[in-house]
Amino acid sequence: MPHFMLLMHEDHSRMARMSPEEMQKAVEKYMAWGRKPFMVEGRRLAGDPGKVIREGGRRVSDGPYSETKEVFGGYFTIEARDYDEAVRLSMDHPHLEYGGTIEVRQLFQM
Amino acid sequence: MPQFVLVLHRDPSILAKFSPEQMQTALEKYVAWTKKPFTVAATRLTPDVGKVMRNGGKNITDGPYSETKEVFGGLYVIEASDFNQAVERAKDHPHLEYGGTIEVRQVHQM
Repeated sequence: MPHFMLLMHEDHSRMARMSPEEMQKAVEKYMAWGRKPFMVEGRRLAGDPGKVIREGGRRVSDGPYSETKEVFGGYFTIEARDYDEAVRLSMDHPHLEYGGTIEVRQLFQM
Repeated sequence: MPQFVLVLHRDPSILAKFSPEQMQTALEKYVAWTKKPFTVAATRLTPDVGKVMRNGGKNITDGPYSETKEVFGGLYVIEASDFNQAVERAKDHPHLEYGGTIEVRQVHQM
């Protein structure tokens, strides 16, 4: 079965406006989605912007990587037959409910 | 030990100029790097642009996600004590030799 990676892009300013209770509820929804039977693995990234290494390693700067207002917040790897099924399975992901964007990418089978 | 995600961004036009032999050499270097003792997981994405889901799932388009010329090409999870060590460990990754950019992000510890 092919594997697909769901890349969670999110706008941090939206999260910053949430109350602790709303945040707790969101975390629970994400974790519940992570227990779906087609799930392979998932990781959530820390809220800091990270580091970016460019030009053969000669340039190391603070993130974020891109100039868009959305940052890469985490990912899930799922099993699906094709892109259509991967998108269909992702339609009820809470990330969409919270205004985030999901990039769906197929994994290279090695 | 904290975990860090190395997000590999690349310019697809560089890869397109490679001969089959150059491609094979590059592939072997990337695979060799995955055998480092601090590597937890490694994934490579297929070269297609994928799908992007926005606006609560109402808007589904073909990728790429961002308008930059670089695309998300793969992801490694490594162990490191902090950002400095994560960056040091990432510096001899062949992706940098081939002109790619590495975004280093810490994994949220749950």
